[in-house]
Amino acid sequence: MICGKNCAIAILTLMILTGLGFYISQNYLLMPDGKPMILITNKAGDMSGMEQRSPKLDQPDMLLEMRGAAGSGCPAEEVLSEQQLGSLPQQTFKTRHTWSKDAETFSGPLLSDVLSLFCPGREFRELHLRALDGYAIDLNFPTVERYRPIVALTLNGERMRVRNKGHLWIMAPLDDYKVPARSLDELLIWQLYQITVNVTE
Amino acid sequence: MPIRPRPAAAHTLHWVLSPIFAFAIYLAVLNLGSTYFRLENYQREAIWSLVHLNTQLQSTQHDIQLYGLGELAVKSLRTRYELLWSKFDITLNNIEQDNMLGEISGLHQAIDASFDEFKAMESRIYSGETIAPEVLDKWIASLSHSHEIINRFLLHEVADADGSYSKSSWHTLLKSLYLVAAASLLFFVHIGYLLLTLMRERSDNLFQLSHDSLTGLANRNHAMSMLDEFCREHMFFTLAIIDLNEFKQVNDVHGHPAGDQILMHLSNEFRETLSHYGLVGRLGGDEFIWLVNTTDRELVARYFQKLLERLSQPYLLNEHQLYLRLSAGATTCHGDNPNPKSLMAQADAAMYSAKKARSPDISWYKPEQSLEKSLSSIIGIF
Repeated sequence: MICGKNCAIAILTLMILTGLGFYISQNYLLMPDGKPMILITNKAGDMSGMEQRSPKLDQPDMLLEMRGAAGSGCPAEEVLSEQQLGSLPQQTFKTRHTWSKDAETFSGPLLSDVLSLFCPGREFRELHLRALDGYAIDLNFPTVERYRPIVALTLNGERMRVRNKGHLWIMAPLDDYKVPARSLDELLIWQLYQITVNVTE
Repeated sequence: MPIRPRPAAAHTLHWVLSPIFAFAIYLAVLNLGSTYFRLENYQREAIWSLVHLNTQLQSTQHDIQLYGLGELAVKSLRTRYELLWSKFDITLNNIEQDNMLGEISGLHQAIDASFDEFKAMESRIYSGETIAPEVLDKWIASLSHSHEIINRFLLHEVADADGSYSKSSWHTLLKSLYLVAAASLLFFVHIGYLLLTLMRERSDNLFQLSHDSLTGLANRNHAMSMLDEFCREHMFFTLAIIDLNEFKQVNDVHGHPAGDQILMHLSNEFRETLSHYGLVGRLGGDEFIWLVNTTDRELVARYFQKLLERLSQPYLLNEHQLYLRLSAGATTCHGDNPNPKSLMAQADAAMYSAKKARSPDISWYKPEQSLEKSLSSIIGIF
């Protein structure tokens, strides 16, 4: 069969549109791949884990309790102060997120820097994070590390109170990554007070 | 003969349109999928925020009671207060961002009112003074009331499949469905239109293949294949060959365009008369063939007479009156002579004899004619 000019135009259009289709699927339908990186282990409101909270957290300016599971190669427990967190290299970015109509500016150290401060020289695999309202997640750290999550200390330049989802809030520069809206929400744990390192390498 | 011009530009457009419409369907389906997941996400978030607000309302009541009994430090109560505050904040933000939640009448106001009452306690919680038991009781009653109202909204409007939230979410989904339907409709209507155009074009092409482009009569191929078919089927019919006399002179004197004009005029006359009784075709030049479905010579002659009557009127060509004169010879086939070539030779011979006799009427083939003709041709050779 001889393919005329029209046929060539049709094939060209089809190729362009197929390419466009690929582009749209790649950029607007991207789903986080790999094994589930976040597992919600404890629903908010369930306060049963609260008793394990370190009493040191009640001291002024103590913000984050770090724990190392047996065999993880990390210290058993350390509570990081606001000063310690503030002395790490600070990341600042503005991003939109689920819990606000407008983009907001977050500032704080990288989660990986906080982990290294507590447990230097290790590659972190499995983490467990807990929030004041009882919400807790198991995190596959390597799968979320590429989103460069931070432990935010300030929101729009101000320290966060518990009522504003503080004192600590895990946040990532979502606008920089083409992930579907709300797909990383479960990672962005607010009112964070405790991180347990379960597995390292 | 109506020959439609090929709409070249429109053609190109159609070739581009079909993939575009197919692509529109793809986009509409993508949109439907993402809308579905977005709606699910929103409903989950809506239920999530209201359930947790309620849980926190209950926990706060519990903690206030413990505080009243002296079993809870004011610091823990403050933490609880902050947590409930954050839940109010999150729920209100959710209502603001989710139109479907915002459209539930009364929900926004109810939560706003509860939040305002709750905020009013801030000064007492942080004053450092012990809070009076009756204030605590009143506070518990107020929180319990908020809990009840929010629970009612949650059960009947948000979580229930018949609730207004599910309804407006379904309406949003329906809009995406309409888009898919519209894109599909566009695509299939366009494909249907293309098919129709192709079929029309095909019938035009078939017509052009079997008809003479100048006169619109059947062309030689078509006429001869009809003759073949008549013979093969052993049909009873009359085959006539009609020749326009002195056509060459017309061409020479008046030019070829005039000749073409005359041929067209003659063909129109054929169509008005002979075509009603059989197939008229142009064999080439000024020679025509007429296949009639009867062997009744009188009838054929009568049909032919109608043509002659029309041709008795002069044809006006460039202010010249022209009388078109024909020579026609015919032969009948009674289903016994299935050789088209010999039939053609017979009609030809009859036509020549008419030409020789200068007879306007149809001349019928007599068996001796072919002998005569072959003899004369033999003599002519020598």
